[in-house]
Amino acid sequence: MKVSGLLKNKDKQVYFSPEICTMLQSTVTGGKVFYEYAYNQQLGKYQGQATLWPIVGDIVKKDNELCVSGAYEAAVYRAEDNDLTLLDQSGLLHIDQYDKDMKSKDVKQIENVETGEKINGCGANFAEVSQNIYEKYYRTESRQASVYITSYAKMDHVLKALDKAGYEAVSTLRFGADEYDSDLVQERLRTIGIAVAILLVMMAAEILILRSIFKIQIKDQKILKFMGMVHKIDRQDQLYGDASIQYYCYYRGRGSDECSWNLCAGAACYALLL
Amino acid sequence: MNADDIYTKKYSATSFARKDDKRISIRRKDQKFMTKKDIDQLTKMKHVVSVDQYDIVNDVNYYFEEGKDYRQEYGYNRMSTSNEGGLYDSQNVEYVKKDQYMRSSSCLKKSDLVKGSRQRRSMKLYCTIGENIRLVIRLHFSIQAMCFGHQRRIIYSGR
Repeated sequence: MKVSGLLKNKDKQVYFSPEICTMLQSTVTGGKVFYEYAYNQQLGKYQGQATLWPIVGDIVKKDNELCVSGAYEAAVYRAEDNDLTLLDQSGLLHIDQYDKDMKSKDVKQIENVETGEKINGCGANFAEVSQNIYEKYYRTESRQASVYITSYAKMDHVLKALDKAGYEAVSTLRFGADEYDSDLVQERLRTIGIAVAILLVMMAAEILILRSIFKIQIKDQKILKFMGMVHKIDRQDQLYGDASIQYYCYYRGRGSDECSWNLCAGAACYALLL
Repeated sequence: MNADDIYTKKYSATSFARKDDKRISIRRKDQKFMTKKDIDQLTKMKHVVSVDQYDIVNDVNYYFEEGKDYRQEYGYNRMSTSNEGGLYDSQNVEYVKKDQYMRSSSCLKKSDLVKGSRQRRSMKLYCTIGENIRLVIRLHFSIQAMCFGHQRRIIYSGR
């Protein structure tokens, strides 16, 4: 294994080459090889069978070669009463491919396949085939891709855009989250309850403050009238004036929750005074 | 803002092992293979940060450091039972840290790297890593992936 680059940011994520990704993905979507070995002349059939995941490595160069893993060899060793000679005999290799409905189809058979003496360093059922066979029968492209977005808040927007662009798309989180968790529901309800209570307290406080301001203004008007002011101040005008100030505050801080609630509280106050 | 109740639900990792609220799994409506043109088109879309050409590997765990990510017992191999009840050869490996998932370098841009290249034309294993990751030679993978629309899942552990 080689490290081919270093990331700029201090991300813990490791990124793997498309080749290793192709090989791992093809174990799920590409297909497998079915290997029959140790032909029994009397029975007229192969004695051993194995379903293996094809990969490409350094060892296998020819199309009629196969290199199994040490772990697989050990499994055969146990299964065949400590007899490895069966695996050493030549066998028949079936190349199986999955179609788009994920059904396995036998597309090619290769006779007289030798496993050789070497074993690959991979685990379990990974078996090395030649690069030629791999590239010929297993696609390096993928039918599925992952799209990462800036935030979950944009999920619906992106899903709609993807649908419009000709893709079927699912949010993996939504797909996996299928059952309510009573603890999480209660926690969420508690949070909503606390938020509503705080808002009500804030609204009540604002109503009280505005009410006292109005009262002070009315007192001022009485003093002005006493001092000889002839023009009568319409109470409605005063309220509209204050309402416009409230609206201006809201307009300047559009999008801010504080401002919208401020406006609501103001409106409630006017309603009470009127 | 999405008006949904997703965060009040339990996440089941049986379909997509990686729990990520920013991930979308996609395929073409005509079910053809994704092309470079598709990837480029997707990358240019609004609110899209990156596109990984290989969806399934995003659900594949990798394990680097022995003793930290996985524990290895030496001696006679025991057979282990998978989540689905089947027997498999665990090679006496116990996977401990199951929160590290693969991503392919196809989603990286050249500008994301401080050194080196994104990929090498080889079937051998190459990877691009963050600076704070210590690397050991042996890599383990456990695949738990779902093929879109087919609900087909394979659990496999290997190294």
